[in-house]
Amino acid sequence: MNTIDTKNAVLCAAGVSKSYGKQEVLKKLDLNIQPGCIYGLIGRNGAGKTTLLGILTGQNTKDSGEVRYGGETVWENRNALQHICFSRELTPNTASGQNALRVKDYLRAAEIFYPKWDKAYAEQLLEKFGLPKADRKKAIAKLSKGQMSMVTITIALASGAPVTILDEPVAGLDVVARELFYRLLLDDYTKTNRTFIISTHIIEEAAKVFERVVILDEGRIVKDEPTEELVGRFAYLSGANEALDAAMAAAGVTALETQLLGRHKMVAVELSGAQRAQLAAADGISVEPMNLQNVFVALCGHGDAQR
Amino acid sequence: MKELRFFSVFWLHQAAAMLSFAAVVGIGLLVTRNPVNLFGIYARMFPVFVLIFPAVLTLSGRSVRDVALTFGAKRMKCYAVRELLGTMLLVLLLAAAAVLDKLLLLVPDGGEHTFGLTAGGAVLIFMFAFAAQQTAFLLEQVKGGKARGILLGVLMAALMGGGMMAYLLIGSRFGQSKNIEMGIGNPFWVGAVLLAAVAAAVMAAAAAFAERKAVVSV
Amino acid sequence: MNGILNDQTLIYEQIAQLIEDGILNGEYGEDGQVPSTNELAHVFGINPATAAKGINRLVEEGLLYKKRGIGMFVADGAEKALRKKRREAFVSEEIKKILREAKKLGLTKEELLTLLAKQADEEGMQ
Repeated sequence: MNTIDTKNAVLCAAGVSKSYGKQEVLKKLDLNIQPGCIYGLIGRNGAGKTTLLGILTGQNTKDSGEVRYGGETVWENRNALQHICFSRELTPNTASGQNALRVKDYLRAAEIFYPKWDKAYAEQLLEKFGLPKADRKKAIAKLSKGQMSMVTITIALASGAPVTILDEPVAGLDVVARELFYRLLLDDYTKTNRTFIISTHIIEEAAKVFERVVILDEGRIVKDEPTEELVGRFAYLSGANEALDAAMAAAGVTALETQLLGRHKMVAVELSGAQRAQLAAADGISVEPMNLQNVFVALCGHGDAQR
Repeated sequence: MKELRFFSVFWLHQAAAMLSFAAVVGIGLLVTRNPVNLFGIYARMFPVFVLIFPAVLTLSGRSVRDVALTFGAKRMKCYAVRELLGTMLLVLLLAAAAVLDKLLLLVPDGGEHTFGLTAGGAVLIFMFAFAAQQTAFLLEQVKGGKARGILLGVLMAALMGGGMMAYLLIGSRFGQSKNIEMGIGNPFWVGAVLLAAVAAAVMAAAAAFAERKAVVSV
Repeated sequence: MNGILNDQTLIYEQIAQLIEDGILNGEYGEDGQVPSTNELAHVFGINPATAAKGINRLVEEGLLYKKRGIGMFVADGAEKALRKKRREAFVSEEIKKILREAKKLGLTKEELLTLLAKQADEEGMQ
């Protein structure tokens, strides 16, 4: 029984709040995940990314607000949940102890729960990543961090779920394996046009594959827009101290981050097209582009990077 | 049902391990034909395992349930399946205990060393083991609250131990009321069984209620 | 392949320029087919939507057109139009840049023109 039109369904959170004891982790958060788009979800440690993802997928409780997929609430709703795959980061604590899950058990679980699970594709992926059949009998808790990531990625891609979420998929992977992941992700996306949400710390590398980026800072969504639109609105300005201050005041621009080098100052700013033109024309002021990682640090660093 | 298929995989492992253990004890007993060596002792004390294992296995099943949740399983279905499979395992273990007890009779001098598991006794053991198991379901839900955790843990142990004590006191060959049948006619038996049944019902209800909001612990 | 894209300009802009360069140096030929968004996405490891944005800019400027079910092709007169656009950009960006730098160095108009002429001669410019 499938009443949800997954091609057009929006996964949306409205007014979601969550506290752990006295700590407010998510504060009246709103988010609409559009279908058929690769999202990058970035935020500092402790910003609430995993909590948010857990709530979006009905796996964790919220204090208030609503989460809907295709109009239906997700909580305990098989209709919605069957279309969502949340491939969490595996840790040595995951299913350890007496009932230690093995890789093959995990794959079997995916086969049971995901209606579109593609077993052949999963085999292919594990081969590509170098996780031979022999290793499948190993307990998840005993895998290396890199191998755990490979399993996470395999589950996510082979699930075929219309909304697929990956939490820190490249932790522990070397650069070659990471590049392989981005390639596999793009190939899959080109073929299936699924919705992907990638939560990651490795920002700049992954920026090229994100169509949209969502920035979570201190429990709130501070940015949710196309990657290039966001990046295009930021710049590093530099020039002599007084000249720069004057030019910025004239254009009505404030600094997000400041670095001083003698009498020379460099600032990170967000500016409109008009402000950019004005500053570019100013004498002695240089305007340089910022990449997504730079933008993120400027917005969410709160000065920590300079301390 | 998806949840059933998922938990069955692990349940089969557990059941196989438990029953193999029982089989080893049984075979060892028959081969060594000695009712007082380790095999004999395990065979006779098997009802103690029946009181302990189901609850302990339920506790360790939490991590498996968490994994099910990460795959989008439904909470109440997980709970229902785990209760079903847990009870089935309990019954299987009880049956194994009964078989082992009978095996002792096939061994020289075995008759002196049986546990003496009767039908009424089996029901008593079942009820206490079941109550301990339900306490385990509730125990694994407990978040934070150390005091509650300790309280429930003590309660669980009490049910296990209490089951054995009740059995011994009420109707085994070693108890005061020797040779008194354990059954409807025995008021102590009725009282003990009802007590355990009520405890089980209360724990189960509380566990089911708490399960509605179960979360994946990361 | 990732090394070809830099982080100085927005990616879709770089894609557009890449195709423009191809048109200018005759790589695609008259009414030739240019790489599809999926091909570009695959080769450069970027999101297809980004590649599409670059292609679309060129379509909007009339440099490319779409043949339904087949792909993107170089429009008539695209090369000429591009050359014109590049010349205009040359003036508004490159020349202004040189002048700005020259002013910083304190060169006069005479000195700058002399230097330009000298370099042009050395490189055998007509």
